[in-house]
Amino acid sequence: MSRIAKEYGDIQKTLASNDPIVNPYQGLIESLNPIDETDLSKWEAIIIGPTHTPYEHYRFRILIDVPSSYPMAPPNIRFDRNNILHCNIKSPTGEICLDILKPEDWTPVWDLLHCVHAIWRLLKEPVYDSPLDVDMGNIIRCGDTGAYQGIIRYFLAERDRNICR
Amino acid sequence: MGDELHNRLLKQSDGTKDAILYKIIESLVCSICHDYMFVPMMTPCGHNYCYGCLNTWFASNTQKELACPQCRSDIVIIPALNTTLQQYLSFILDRLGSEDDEPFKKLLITKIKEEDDYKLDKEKDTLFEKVFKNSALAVADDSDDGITRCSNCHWELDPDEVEDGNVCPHCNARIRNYAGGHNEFDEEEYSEGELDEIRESMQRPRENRLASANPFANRDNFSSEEDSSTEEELMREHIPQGRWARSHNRSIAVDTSDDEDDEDELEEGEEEMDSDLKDFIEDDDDGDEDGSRRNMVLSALNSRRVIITDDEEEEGQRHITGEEEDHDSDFYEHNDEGFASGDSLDEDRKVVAEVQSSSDSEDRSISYPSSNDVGEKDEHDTEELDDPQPKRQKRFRVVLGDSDDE
Repeated sequence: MSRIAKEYGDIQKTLASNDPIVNPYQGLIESLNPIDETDLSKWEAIIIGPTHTPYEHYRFRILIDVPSSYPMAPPNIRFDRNNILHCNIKSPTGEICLDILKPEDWTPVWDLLHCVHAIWRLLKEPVYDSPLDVDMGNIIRCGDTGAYQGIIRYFLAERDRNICR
Repeated sequence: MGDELHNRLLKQSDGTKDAILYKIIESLVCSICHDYMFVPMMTPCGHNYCYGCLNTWFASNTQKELACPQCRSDIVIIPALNTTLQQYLSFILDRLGSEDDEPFKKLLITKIKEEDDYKLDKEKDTLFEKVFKNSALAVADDSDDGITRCSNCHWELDPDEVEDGNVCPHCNARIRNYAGGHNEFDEEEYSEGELDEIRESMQRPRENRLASANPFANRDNFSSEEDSSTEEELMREHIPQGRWARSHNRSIAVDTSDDEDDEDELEEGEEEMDSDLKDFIEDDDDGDEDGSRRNMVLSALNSRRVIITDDEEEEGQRHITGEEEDHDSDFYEHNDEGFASGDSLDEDRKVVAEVQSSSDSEDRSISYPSSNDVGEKDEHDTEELDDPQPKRQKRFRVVLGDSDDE
């Protein structure tokens, strides 16, 4: 049985549990599933915006491509297009700048749950020194957190308004 | 004492016993494939993986150092079979197994296959696809020139050059330990005065850069707190990367003056001073007819200048010779201080034999290390930096050992 198939079983067990020791992802990761049950190379996850951030009360969809060389190579992870604003995420493509997802820093002991959790952490704690969205990075590097958060709130409100229409 | 835990275990409830056993079985699962480790290999840092998984991991990126997947530390010596874990698993299989159980049969088949793979590789002496034999180590000898070199060909490993691939640019050997720059700054390496100097020299260029790089930057918005935190970042950014640059024996001032802003500032300073002096001299000259005093001051000025230009030239020369060193392996052959270029090994062999015949480790030098030992020797190589002489001999042995293999 391949590693990803084993992970699938573990993920289902973990996320279904209400025991915080078994499932430490409660309130963080809503779901993590293959898009098509028969194809374990394409996954999607829904994460819940961390509290005390502009992302609170919002949900975000993450798309995961698992290469055939996984777990020796990292999974390819991105957000939905134009779905989030964050200094380490390129909003139009959803591309994420996170060191552990880069081939040179990836290690095979990480699994999909770890990766999704790491992305949730990234929402909570943006990394200002290596911004992928330079404009957002500049705002936060000036110390104007109010503006940074305000833009995100505005963006997310607009996003949901457009979806409702 | 020795049976305290044994006795306690017997008194425990079934729940506790189960928890203990469950934990033990969990420790037999490989963190790479999430399956049982039938051939558990333990890395020098103490983590265990299946032989097959670790092998695939090493082979998955041949441009990379060999790093432990769990703690990322360099795996410079070959991982060893962890027989204790292997025996646990065999014992558990023995007790829990039943022949007619289909999934269990599968487990046994996998076990036999993986054990055979390992045995075959061990017999053929091709463990880990020989990656521990065909690779080199980045070694710096602080008692010598302190420059990080390839243990195979002794080529200088410039962290910038090996950044993209952890491979020796000269002999193409994969380097087992990370040879790129470490962006760490070890304050203990510097005295208090030196640290102040560094801080001062970095403060100015950073401020300039921040202001220019950041369109939103507003001086007033910089809180003092932010300043102090960026200062630390700075250090990491600017200070010679890792051991390599530090060990170049260049003064810190030289290292930091790589920064253009800094250099400009220095030059401006000099010019200002010069013109000030000239003004002073001319004023003086009006009243002094024979101009002897003027000459004196001028000569003093000139000599001062000479010192400055000297410095600059010296620095320039250092750069130039540094470049020449990179390309001229003859340099080492003729100014041999313990370097061996690839094509002078035979000569070196004699030298080593001579040097070592005078030392007490003669037998070791003549019986070249078996290839299995090479990794271990390399390890010693990096550790025993205090004693210059034995170290140098060891380095030769490493070279000989490696060349012997090929």
